[in-house]
Amino acid sequence: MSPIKRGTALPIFNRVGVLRAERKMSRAQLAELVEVNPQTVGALERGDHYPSLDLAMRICDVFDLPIEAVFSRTELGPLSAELFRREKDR
Amino acid sequence: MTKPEPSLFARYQESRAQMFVNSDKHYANWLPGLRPQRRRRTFVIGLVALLVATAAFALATLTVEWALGGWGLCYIAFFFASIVLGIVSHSRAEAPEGALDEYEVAHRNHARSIGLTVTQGLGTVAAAYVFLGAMFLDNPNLALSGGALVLTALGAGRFSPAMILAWSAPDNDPEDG
Repeated sequence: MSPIKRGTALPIFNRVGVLRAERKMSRAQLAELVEVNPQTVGALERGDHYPSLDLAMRICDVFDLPIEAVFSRTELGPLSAELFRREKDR
Repeated sequence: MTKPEPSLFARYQESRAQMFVNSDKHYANWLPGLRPQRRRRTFVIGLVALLVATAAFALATLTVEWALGGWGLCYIAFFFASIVLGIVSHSRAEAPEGALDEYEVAHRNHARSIGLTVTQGLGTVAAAYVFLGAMFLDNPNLALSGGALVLTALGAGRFSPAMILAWSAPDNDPEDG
């Protein structure tokens, strides 16, 4: 997992795999769009790699979503459930 | 506002990255039989065995005259085998930063950090051998033997990042297609 700094390593969960599947996009296609190796996308999806802010923003640009919709400190549930909950709270 | 001219160092790094990308493309399909992780690991074990033999010949040079020839042969074999290992593992260990993404850079840096520790450790052992040998042994071959051992230690240190990356890099996921 990288980059690792001093102090407690806090997890970063993401929805990259789900969003990619939803858009019927292969890892290679996403990798090409964000200019990384397909293996790096795989590592992100597995949680083996925490992305830099730059890479996270490039990924969010591809999916046209805000950072908090794709990355989170807490485990992410289905996006649809979250949207539905927000609608109900309004 | 005009964009500042890139420095000489930045231009050099950029051209190195471009050369690396071109060379990686050129060798991308070479030696496919050695590319699976299991084969790479076997190859790394072979390289380590070759290194041990090289070090043994370097030490034997102290007392056996022909051992220097054995050391030379092993060293050359190790050098070329390391190049082959670089080819089958995409030479990530020597890649300039501009040719890698952040995940690859992180892995390369970890491997290089271990490589530096290996170089320092083995270099210290080789230097101690020459130092203590000069103090306690009266052997005219000590300089040859010590020099060969230092070169072996440097070779081990130089290529250990490549060996670490070749060992640890996973096989391509079919989904990465």
